[in-house]
Amino acid sequence: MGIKISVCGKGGSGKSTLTSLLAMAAQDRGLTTLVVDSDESNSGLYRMLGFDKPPTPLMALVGGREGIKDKMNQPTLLSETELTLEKIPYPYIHEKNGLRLLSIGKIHQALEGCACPMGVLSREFLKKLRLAENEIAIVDMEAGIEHFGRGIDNSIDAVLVVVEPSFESIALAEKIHDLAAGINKKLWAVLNKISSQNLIDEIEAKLKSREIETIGEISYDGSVFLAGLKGDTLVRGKSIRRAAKILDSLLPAET
Amino acid sequence: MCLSTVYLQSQDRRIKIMQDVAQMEYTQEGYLLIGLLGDQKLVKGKIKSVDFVDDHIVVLEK
Repeated sequence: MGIKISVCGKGGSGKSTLTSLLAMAAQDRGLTTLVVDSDESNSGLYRMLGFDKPPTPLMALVGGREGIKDKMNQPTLLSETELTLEKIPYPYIHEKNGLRLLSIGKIHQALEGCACPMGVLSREFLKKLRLAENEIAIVDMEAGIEHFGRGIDNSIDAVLVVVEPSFESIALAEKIHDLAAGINKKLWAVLNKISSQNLIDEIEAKLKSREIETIGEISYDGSVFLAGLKGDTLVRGKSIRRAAKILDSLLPAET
Repeated sequence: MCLSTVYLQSQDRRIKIMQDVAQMEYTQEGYLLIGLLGDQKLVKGKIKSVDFVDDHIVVLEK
């Protein structure tokens, strides 16, 4: 059975970038790859992955925030006990060369209310999602730790926490490590925005003292920064090769 | 208020009836609980308390 990986960490640490790099690496491995955009605030993940427009969020399937009460009485795709990738139709999933993107929902305006329904939708979708052996799901989580409180990580097989060179990022990684341990989830750190081996050694040591194992690092990559600045698709370069190594460590040996 | 959990309270115990309840409607038969994904349950009794901080509602069994 395929695995579900979540990518979490501090805001701005590079969750969407790592999600995209891992997804493209998985695509290159020939895996059918689903990226789940579970961050209700970001808006550029589809661009990084090379899609022209974002998919219609799953929230729309249940009526969106405005129509949710009218649609609640009607069975939808999400009423099914189990969901496979094939069951999810366009426009809720966009597909390009084996890479699929699905979005839970976005906050569009001030005072529209809390994001709890999106949290529940994320959790239920991931719980119902059944992956075949050659399939992988990579979930771009919202920044911070609320997703643990909402139970979104309960169906996840491996949690990756992105750590950038900052005290805040390391402190949050420790918190996420504790929360993941509380629900018996395996967690690894991925270092991002790394400029030297000395920095790797220093952050790894800090994480190790907090019982967090580092699974890999993404060094500074000008092409990634430039793509992020311009809203372009990530270029297949050294960062994807780094992500591929991380992915290989996470995939079962027989895959 | 976020999505709520509804409990049924009898004299000696409290049972969780439904989680993530998005809507609760009074009907002649009891309270109809409707979940975000359309799942429904009916609970008979009267509301004892609504906790807006911890997002739960307790229905006292008749």
